[in-house]
Amino acid sequence: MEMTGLQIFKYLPAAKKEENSNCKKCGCPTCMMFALKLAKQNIALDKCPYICDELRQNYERSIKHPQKTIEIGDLKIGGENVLYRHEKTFINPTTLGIIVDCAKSDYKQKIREIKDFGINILNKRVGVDLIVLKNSENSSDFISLSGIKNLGLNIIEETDFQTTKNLLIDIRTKAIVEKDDDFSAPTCVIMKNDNFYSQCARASFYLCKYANMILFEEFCPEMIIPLLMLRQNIFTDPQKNLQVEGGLYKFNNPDKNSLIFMTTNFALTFFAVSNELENLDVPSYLLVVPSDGMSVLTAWSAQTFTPDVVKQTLEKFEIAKNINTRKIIIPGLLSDMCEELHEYCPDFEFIEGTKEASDIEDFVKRTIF
Amino acid sequence: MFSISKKGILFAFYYTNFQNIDDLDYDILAISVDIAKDGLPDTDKPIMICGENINSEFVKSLDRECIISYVTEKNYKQLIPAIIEGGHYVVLKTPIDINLAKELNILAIEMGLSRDKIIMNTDIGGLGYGYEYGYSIMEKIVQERNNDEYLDFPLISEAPLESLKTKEAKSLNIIGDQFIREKMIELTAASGAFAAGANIVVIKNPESIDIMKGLI
Repeated sequence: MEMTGLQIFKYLPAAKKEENSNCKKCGCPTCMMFALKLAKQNIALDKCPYICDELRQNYERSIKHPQKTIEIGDLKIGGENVLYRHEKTFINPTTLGIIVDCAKSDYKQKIREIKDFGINILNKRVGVDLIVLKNSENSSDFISLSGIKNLGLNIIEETDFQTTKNLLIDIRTKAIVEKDDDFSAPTCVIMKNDNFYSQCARASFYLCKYANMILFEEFCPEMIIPLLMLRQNIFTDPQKNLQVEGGLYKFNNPDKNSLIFMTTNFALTFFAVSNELENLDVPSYLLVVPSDGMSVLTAWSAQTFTPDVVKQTLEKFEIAKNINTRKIIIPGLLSDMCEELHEYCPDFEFIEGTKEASDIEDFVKRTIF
Repeated sequence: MFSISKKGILFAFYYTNFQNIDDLDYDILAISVDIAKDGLPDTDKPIMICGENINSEFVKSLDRECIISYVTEKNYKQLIPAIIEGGHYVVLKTPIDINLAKELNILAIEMGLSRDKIIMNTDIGGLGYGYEYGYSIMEKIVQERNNDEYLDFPLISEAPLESLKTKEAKSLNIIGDQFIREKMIELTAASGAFAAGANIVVIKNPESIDIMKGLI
């Protein structure tokens, strides 16, 4: 853990009420200012001539990155600072790579297949991060297996699950808790190439705890998809609201007369509503209003979901021009806003929807629009 | 009599469509209350009754020790007395919040429920859909429960069932074979819950039970 300003301050002359208190030799007006700057790493330790050995040791240890970061092109591997995502956040999503054997006749086709693969997660296209060539040299496009082994990664050839799991946990713990240099290299697990289902279960565990890179000897898209989904979750920064982009989302091929729903852009709200809309037997639109990733009531009280924002969103996505529907279903929690919204957006009528996404299906069945 | 521990992991098989369960290596048989009403399957292993509409008459009618999954803040008052009387385990379910989980545990204990009969379900979103919230709550509880007697209970996760409801599990319009993908999604969700510290994971595909048990 990094030292706080106060933890640093207690070693400085002013805190000990010693000679040279607030001497300004460091360029700061007080020892406290120096301590605060040092905590943010905005000033060099040696600017203060009165640093004691204990502070030097503790500080240098505290700012040391527990895990190295290794880069392959745009990919960053490692650089993690915590054992649990809730302590701060994980930083660089586990690299998922496939080893392609160039000694096999169909290797070019395999490469094409892997490159063509991708799915959309949170409106972002993701796929396999890295193709590693076996029985080949490094090329301009791809890295070779021997190239991977020369990057300074801690390469772990998977043996049985228990051993590999314990090894990964042990390495990460020593790197983070003890800041042991011998364990600071990011880890790369090369999966044993057996049953895909079992590989999927094992790799999922390693992704959570604590592989920085996982390489598979064979490409199985059905296995990569859930790993990408899990990775998206585990590497989400818990300090930020998870949000989706504002916009008009379509479900089941809506036409100009389909239903229009509206909600905020908090990802969980969006997921809950879109899941329901997808399963309706009628087509629909979902207008997502950009509201700083806040859920419905939070956005309302924080004024990120206001009639004005709704009006701008309707205009931006040219709803009145492109869709004939004039009734918009809003979250039930915001039923008080219906009239006010209508005043701002006189082209539209706003209808009170349900409080819970799970009631949408019932709501649509019993409402005559 | 059986015991559920805070160490290790058990796999509950979610029984549907009257499958043949004789050769399955599950630890717990999970069965919906609607099926259970017509009689319990014949097994020596622990049985878990699942559903939100379990009532106390039903609990009283059980003639063997079961796990009642689940009871919430809304119905614990009606159900806990019958659960205590029958000597059953109970899954106390709360919506992704460590304090709500703790509160319900306290309320149930104050009604006289024995501590060793409590299992916590802190809820979780499906894979790709807010899974990380539930994941982190389980990790936090595992970290804190040694120092907090009101969190010191085994955890159950239904992450695989939630994840099977996702578009990625059900859609035919995503690359690859939907049948295979669905099973992979279930396994990933189960394995992540295992990593987070779940002590019971509920699984739907019989083959996944063997795969997951192969890990421990």
